[in-house]
Amino acid sequence: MVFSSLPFLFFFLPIVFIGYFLVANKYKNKILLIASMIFYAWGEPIYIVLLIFSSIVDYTNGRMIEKYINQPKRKRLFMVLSIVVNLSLLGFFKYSGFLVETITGILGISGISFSIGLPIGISFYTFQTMSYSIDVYNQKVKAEHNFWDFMTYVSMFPQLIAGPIVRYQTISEQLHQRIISFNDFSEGMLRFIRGLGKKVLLANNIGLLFTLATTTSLNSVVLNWLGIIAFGLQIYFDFSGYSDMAIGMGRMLGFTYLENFNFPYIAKSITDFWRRWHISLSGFFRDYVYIPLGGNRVSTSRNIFNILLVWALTGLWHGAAWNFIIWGFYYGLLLVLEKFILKKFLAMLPSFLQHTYTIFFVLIGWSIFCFDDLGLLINYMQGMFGFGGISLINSYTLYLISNYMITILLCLLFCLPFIKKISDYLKNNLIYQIGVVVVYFGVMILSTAYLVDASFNPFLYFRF
Amino acid sequence: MAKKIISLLVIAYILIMMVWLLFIPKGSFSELENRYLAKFPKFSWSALLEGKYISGLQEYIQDGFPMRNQYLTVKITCDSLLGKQESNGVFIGSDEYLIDDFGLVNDEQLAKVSAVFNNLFVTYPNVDFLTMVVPNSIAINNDKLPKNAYYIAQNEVLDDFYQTLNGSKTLNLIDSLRQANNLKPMYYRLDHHWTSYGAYQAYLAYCQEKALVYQDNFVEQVITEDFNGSLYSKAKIFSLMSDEIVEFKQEYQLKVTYFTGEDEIISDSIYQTEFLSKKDKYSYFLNANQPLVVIVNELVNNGHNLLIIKDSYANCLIPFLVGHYQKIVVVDPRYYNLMMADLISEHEISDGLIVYNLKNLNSDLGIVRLR
Repeated sequence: MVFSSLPFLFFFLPIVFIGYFLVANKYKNKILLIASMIFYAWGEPIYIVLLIFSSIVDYTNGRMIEKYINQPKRKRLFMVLSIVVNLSLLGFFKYSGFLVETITGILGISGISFSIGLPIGISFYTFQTMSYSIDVYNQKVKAEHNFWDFMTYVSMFPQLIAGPIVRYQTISEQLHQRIISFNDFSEGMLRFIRGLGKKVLLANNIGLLFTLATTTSLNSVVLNWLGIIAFGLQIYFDFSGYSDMAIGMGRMLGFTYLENFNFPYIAKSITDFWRRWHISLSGFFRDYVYIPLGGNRVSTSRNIFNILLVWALTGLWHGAAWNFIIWGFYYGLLLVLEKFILKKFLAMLPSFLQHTYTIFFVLIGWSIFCFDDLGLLINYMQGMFGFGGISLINSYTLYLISNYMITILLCLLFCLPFIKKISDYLKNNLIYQIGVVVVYFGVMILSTAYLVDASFNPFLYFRF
Repeated sequence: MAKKIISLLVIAYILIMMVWLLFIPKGSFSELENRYLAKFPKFSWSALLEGKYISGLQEYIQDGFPMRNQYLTVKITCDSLLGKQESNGVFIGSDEYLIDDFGLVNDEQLAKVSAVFNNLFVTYPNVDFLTMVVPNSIAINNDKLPKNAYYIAQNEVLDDFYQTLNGSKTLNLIDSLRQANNLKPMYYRLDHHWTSYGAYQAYLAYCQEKALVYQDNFVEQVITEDFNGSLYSKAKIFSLMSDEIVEFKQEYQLKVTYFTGEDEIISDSIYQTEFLSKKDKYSYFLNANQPLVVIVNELVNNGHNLLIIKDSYANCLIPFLVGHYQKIVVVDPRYYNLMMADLISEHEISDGLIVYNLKNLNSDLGIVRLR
């Protein structure tokens, strides 16, 4: 089930919350677990077995690591087991088709293909269970003794299918004891509505422009840039909208998740961008891959290798295709360049140039990300830079601009911290507060209206 | 404080919608959208495991959502405030015109169609064929399109298509329709069909091409003023002014046989009045699209029998033609898949007329099955 759908909003959500608040505290986790199982099974009735399997494996690993906490070899064994099992699950269900395709491609064999449906959310929950076992191993967190509570953590529906990747240590206390005030609940509800609006009103609308711009033969330089800007806006509002909805629902249920996005498009460098974009993922790779590889305390050449490796993996995490690996590698290179050469020069530039530099390379990154056909990508990029006899602008471009200008401007406005600043400033103004009520309720109704029509409501993370 | 108010409002809203959705029965047909709404899915374990049950449930909730039409109106209004100039593949033109997008030229389909037609012309050299591919509203009302909107020039597509035909007269109606459009609407504003005025222009051109003396004693009358056609349903802009349907009436003594595929209905009229009280009022002409219709005009005895291979655009053209033929045999290849040969010999066909609108010709798969 996805959050931005009528069955979720007007059926699942109210029923789960009514159940959740009616039962006594000790049963709340059970309600949450049952709800999460239904939530997952709604779209993936069979693959729920994998989710349960991954939970059992890491629950056991956690207990075993704890039991052998003073026997380094044995406890290491169970930590490794967790990594092997989870990566094998991920490897088989996410990457085997791609691997077979690549190998047969290299060997020049045709006619062999292998494909298996990707279980939704597998990239998120395997990372969560894995991080748990590693954290228990490193004694950052105590092992969970109650299997049902552990299962509740792994499968909790707000973050189950599109993140953020929530580490056990973040919510271990709240998992056992939490207080939910109406104030917290309301805060969470507002966050959820913001996320819903971002996804349904902004991302879906600007996503249409991306689709139109990348599927037409009436390209122009401006159109191609517009298309890729539209994609950048779509994926930001879609993804951060999902995170907002997850964080908001978590809050409504009494959990505090960490932030996942922090205005990424105001970044002044690529390094800065990745501190602001999908924070739970880059944090995961930093803490569980980069630092174990030696982090910064290695030779420069080794450090460069580590960065490139980590980023190629980060790219691969986004989907089993070459363009994602290239995309990750591209960021690895940029980050290496920034770290060892550009940092000093960038700091000397006026800030608008720093922003321009960042946005430019992020947009080029998105073009690599959004085309999984290399030929199409090259063609499209040639267009962006005016090669191949393409005109600067044409009437179709003007038509799309007049249709989407307001949407683009709205999206850009919401990329900036401007509105947040205003609302912090006006917090106690009565008229402002009335306005806020109208706007939030309006967003709720408008989002419903767009979902009732539902002509365009893609789920972008089916490959993650 | 504001937060808590929002929270309470949204909780109330969601609960009201949920109760309404679950407990209040809803209709199974949407008049505005002209389609059947999804039914509650039947439960079975296999459907559940294949995901069909869930997707059925999803559709049911979508279609049965309380105040669906009001929500659609809110959405469309918001879209137009955002500056959107089309809705669901339909351009929102000036003067309350909705104009269906033609899309791109499908060369492969057109080549196939041309081959099917040519085969027909070669096989029956004694039948005098005329091919009339009718342009769509977008070719005639292009001045009403939003600024800079992209559309294919149908004139060239038509001419290119006609070039590939051998053994048939052809008619390009674009210029005459454009000219006449200044006086009367050649197309409905909210439907994808042409009006009887448009068909009348085609009739005049047809008579000229076939050297027939055209009749001018038709009685022009408005038969309904609230026709909300297919584009209205597709674009879902429910605030637009309805179309009126005008017919050109003439008294004939007819024997009309509708072969519906299941049975034969014999009537004395090429109109079906009961459609005027339904949503799809264009079906008034020729009783909607039937696989086969045979119209015998008992007062004509000139030995001319006409075979019409057509889509729905022909339905409002046929009233003009019945005065000229002893018998008209009307075939809709989308629903009729028997041999043309049998029809041609059985009804002693002397003349053939193909009437298709360009958009259908460019996309409809039924026409390629013509034998």
